[in-house]
Amino acid sequence: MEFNPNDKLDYSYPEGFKKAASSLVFLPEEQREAMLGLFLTLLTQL
Amino acid sequence: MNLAERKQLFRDTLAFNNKGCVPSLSNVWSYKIYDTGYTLKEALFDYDIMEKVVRKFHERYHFDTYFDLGTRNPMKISQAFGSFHHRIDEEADAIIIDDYSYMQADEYAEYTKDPQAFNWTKGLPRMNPDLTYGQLQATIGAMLEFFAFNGKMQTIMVQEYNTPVLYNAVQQVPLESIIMGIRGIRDLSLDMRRRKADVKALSDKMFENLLAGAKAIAAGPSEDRYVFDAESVILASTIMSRSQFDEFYAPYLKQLMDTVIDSGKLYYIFCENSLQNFWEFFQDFRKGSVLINLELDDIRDIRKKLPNVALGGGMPSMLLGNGTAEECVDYAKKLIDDMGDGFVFSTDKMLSYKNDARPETLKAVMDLVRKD
Repeated sequence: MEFNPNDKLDYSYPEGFKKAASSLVFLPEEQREAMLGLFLTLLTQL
Repeated sequence: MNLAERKQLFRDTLAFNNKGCVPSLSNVWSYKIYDTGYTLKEALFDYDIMEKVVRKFHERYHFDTYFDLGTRNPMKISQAFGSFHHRIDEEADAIIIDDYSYMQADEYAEYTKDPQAFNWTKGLPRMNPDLTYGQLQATIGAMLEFFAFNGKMQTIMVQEYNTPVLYNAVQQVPLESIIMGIRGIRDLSLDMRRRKADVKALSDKMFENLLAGAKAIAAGPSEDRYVFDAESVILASTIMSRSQFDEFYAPYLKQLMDTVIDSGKLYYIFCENSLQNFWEFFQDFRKGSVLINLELDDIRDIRKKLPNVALGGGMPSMLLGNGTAEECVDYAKKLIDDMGDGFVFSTDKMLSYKNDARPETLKAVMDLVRKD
């Protein structure tokens, strides 16, 4: 799946979440959803 | 003193068996940036500079362990994310964080049912509705860079300076996360009165993972590089009455601490502001297992109330910032004498501002407790 970096995220769940996770191509595939989930748990720090 | 000896000194201190040898704990945050000649913006956005800050600060003062290794304010992540809630005010020498909430009062049940789904569909878009795939990639990349920097700084302290890292795992009571952004200070204050069941249900949900983490710490080995196996910062108590602390906070903290301590591990508590309102909570913990770092409390008074836990803190920032080196040394000597064993030398607040200390006063008191 290709992503335009300027496109806004799809905030549907779980479809949009999974699509966003798959855009994290610099991570091993099996780690992408877990890392996006970790990011969401750290939202309060942002 | 090598790494193992330094760790043993802390273990002996928790057991009140340190025989007059006082360990030191750096509760120094943004002050070290000024102390080493940099500005907030220079250090917080450049990890090479932050590494120089931490190295120079340690080589100057030689604390036995550090609460912060330059990783308190992950501004590069916030910057990549496009956050509006963190900003640097150079004129005031301060990092400003807004009190905000991304969950509304009537959404507790939805959040509790599935926190990840809520954060994706509502939390994240409320914080940045226009976030793009490119920004998300940059933010996650900045997060990974931050984790790597944190690990690098820990390794530098352990391998190059024989200085153990203060703690391994962070164990925050659910209310600490709820007050930080999910509901914010003002809204959570109201919720604890008007929506007790909602707050408790969400706390219970969040606690499932926390308790699993505490059990994993209990089951695993104590790693050589850390002084303490677990740490909790107590901050939300500042907006709570004693009865609210007993209802919303104490049951969770007690379970986390018991789980870790019962396995023979060590627990570090940083009590922001004051524990005068709930000091009895700590009176039954086994001697040798807990250090409480105090801020605004009278440390001698707490020593009388809590003879079972080691205490850290006591050196007034006000004196370090405004007194002479001689006055500071006199105060530090008396503090160390008065506290005796079971005491960790530290400051009475987080040193965050330019005037919280001066190099000559901090150097003078640290030379008293320095161990080569």
